[in-house]
Amino acid sequence: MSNRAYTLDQLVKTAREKGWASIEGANLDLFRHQAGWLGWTVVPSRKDGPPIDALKAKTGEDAPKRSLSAITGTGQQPLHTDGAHHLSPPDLVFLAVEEPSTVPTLLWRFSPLGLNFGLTQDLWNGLFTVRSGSDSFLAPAFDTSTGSLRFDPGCMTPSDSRARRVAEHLLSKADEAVRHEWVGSTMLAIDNRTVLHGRGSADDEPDRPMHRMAVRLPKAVS
Amino acid sequence: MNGSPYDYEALWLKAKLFLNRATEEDDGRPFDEQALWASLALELLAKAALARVSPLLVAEPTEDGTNLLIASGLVEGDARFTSVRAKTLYSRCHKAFKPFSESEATKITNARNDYLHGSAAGFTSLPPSAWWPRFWTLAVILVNAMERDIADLVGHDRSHTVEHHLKQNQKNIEHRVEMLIARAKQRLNQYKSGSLPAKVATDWSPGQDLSAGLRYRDPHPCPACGSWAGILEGDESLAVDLQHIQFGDDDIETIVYVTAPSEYFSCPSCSLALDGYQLIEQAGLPSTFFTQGTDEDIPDYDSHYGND
Repeated sequence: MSNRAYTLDQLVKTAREKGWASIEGANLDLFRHQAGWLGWTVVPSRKDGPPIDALKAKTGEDAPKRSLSAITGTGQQPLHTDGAHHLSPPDLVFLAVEEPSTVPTLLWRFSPLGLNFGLTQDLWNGLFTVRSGSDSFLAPAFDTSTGSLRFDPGCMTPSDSRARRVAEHLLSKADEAVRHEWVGSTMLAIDNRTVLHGRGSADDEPDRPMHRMAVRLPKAVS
Repeated sequence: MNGSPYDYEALWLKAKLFLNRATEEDDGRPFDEQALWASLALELLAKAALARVSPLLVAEPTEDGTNLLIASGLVEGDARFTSVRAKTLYSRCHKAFKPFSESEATKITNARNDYLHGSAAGFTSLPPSAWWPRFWTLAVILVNAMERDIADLVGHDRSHTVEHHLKQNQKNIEHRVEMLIARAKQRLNQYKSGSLPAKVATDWSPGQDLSAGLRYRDPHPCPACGSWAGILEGDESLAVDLQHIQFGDDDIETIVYVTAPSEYFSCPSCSLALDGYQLIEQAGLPSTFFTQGTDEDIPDYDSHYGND
């Protein structure tokens, strides 16, 4: 295993243990190749989309119709998991910026421990309608078979009272989120199965460039 | 979950969604609306249980075979989802997932259709306390057929309510069987003592044939009056046994025996009638019976090949 692959492996291991982890450097292309060697699957955000997305805060009018930016513009995004519109969402998300930025990324780690019984049942059993293009399917916010969270108010609509309570609970967690500040060329790995994230308000720095790559791990690893 | 319209996981999740709506206490839905969602969920559960065995069991055959091709996975497509009718679904579930009652499930679907398409203002004349036990007795059979439990379907926080309904149904069955047997005994005793009310006596006398006309039948002692005139009936052949009796070198006679499920019991002596597995089981009658069949019951009777 090369040093770089070792770094990627360590980064991911820490992210899985603690919810997220960051390292200096922002070369996602290199990580993408290493992910391939490790047998990880890169999950593009959209069908036929690029493996690495170039993200920039967009006003509601400029944003793609079906995107969080279309809802929030350059304002703060609601906390969400990435790829919630995929039947099988990615396990990890890598975000990278080249330059320091004043726009933080908000992070909140989910844990079923400490939740009251009713809410736990709502998380497991409440159903959302997930829409992506012309496709739609039903899914709970928490998949007990994989232990992973799926939540994105941009593409998930609560379809019953249980799901409505779940959405209300998760949306309220923005106040408890940790701010990850981008102080230099950095890469942030987020455990997409247990952590909600969202871009802070980019009203003052709408052109902040960021790159994103999402991966699905092989079952043996995950 | 996947994108196939016949995917059982997707059907299961939709049934789960409808039951979430039907069982939510804080939604303020009236019972009629809860029953409507539940009746739709029952049909989806039946589809899911069958589709889990094979999606071909729920796909509506068409001239060009598109639905069957999609269901079999040979063709990918977004063809309009057309599945078999509820009547067919429940008939298949009745055969595949015992003791699922086709007639009870059909009653729920008929009530739903009346409520949706007719002028009926209410879903059913039954009170919720009587309707839910019947509903859950059907649903739990389909859930079990999918190797899952009630908590998987409605959550642990609502499963105790379902368990309560199931217990209630068991009590209802016990009471009903007890009542039917007691009434049959009473009627016969009254008849024998000449104290049967005149109005009843004009309509009833021992010896009336109450059989359901099912394919297989076998005498069995009546749990009410003990008469051997009681008849167990069933419409299916669960197993076939052949007994060969040799009378001479070239004279062999084959006797066919069929094992059939006990679906109906009636007694012409006291007019006890028990319709359905649950009532029959509760009355202590066997769940299956052994009876003589015919050559037609032998599988592939006409297609045997021999080197003779």
